[in-house]
Amino acid sequence: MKESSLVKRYAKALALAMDDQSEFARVKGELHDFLALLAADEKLKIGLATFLISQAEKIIALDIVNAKMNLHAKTFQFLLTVTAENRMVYLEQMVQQLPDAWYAARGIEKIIVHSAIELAGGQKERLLGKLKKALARKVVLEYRLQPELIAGISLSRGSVQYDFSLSGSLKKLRETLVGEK
Amino acid sequence: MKKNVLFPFLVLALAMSLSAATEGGTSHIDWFNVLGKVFNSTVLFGGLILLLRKPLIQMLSQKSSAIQNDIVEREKNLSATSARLLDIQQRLAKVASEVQGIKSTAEAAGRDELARLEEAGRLEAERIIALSEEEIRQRVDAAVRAVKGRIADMTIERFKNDFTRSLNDATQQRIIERNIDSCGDLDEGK
Repeated sequence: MKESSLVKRYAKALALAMDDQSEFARVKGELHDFLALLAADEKLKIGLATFLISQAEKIIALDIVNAKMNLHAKTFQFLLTVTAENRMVYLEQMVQQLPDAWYAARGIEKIIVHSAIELAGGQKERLLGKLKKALARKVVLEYRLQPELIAGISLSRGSVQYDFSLSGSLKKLRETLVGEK
Repeated sequence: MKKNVLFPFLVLALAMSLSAATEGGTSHIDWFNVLGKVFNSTVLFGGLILLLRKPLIQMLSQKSSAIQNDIVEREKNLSATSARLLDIQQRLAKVASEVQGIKSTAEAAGRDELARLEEAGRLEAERIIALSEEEIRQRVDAAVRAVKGRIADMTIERFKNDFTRSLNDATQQRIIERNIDSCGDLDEGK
């Protein structure tokens, strides 16, 4: 719980530091590349995370990485901060949390769309338009396949679930038949 | 006082001497002997009187006092005993009524307790019956729900299987389109 809160704080701070969507996309991409680099280079990963290596040496290592990857100034500053605070072990979680933090910082509602089959491009646009209009705010959709829905879609908005699928309808039907509702 | 005491002895001694001389039939009286006897008697009785008078008086006085005290004490004891006897007699006279009172009270308490127990038993029986009825109702409801659930599950499963078999892309798309139309109802943000 404490770690989750810490990760969210770092992600939120980085998201708030972004000027626009393109900058956010670049920083996020660079951080993913940096994580891929750490995954490929175990020594670098351990060296940046361990307490046995001094801060100065870690900064030198990050300088070398920066020179090779030509990182955005904010990306580099973020990595320096995370290293200085000895939070490098949480970097992957911070990057994963980054989109949500960005949406929250920009007042964008993220809705996960579960569907039994892939939605067509036109359907995605129509759904986005409907939801933007219904919620009166910016909306971003994340699509996931869920064949057990049988047919139709289900929306997850935070902890709230809107189930329009056939599976959901059958559940409601069962509750009505049994008298649980 | 001393003369009064000694005088009877002297007279007695003289009378005895004269009597003895008369009985002998002779007129000769040996006065010297008489005087001697009188003197001896006087000395003897006088000494005895002198020696024993005070202790005797004291002893008799003490005895008299003790007897009086004893009499007073006995009178006190007698009056106390009489009082106790009277008390006992009075209490004995009350015993019968007390026994009757206790008996009446016990009978009344017994009747009350019996009524209370009967009422408590009746309430407990009603409670048990109510609980039993409630439990039976709940079990029946649960059984009905279970049967309904089973029927619903079977029906839905059958429907699901039939529907899945007949499901094609066109139907899927129609359902999705209908779902997208329904998304216009999410109006919490407005």
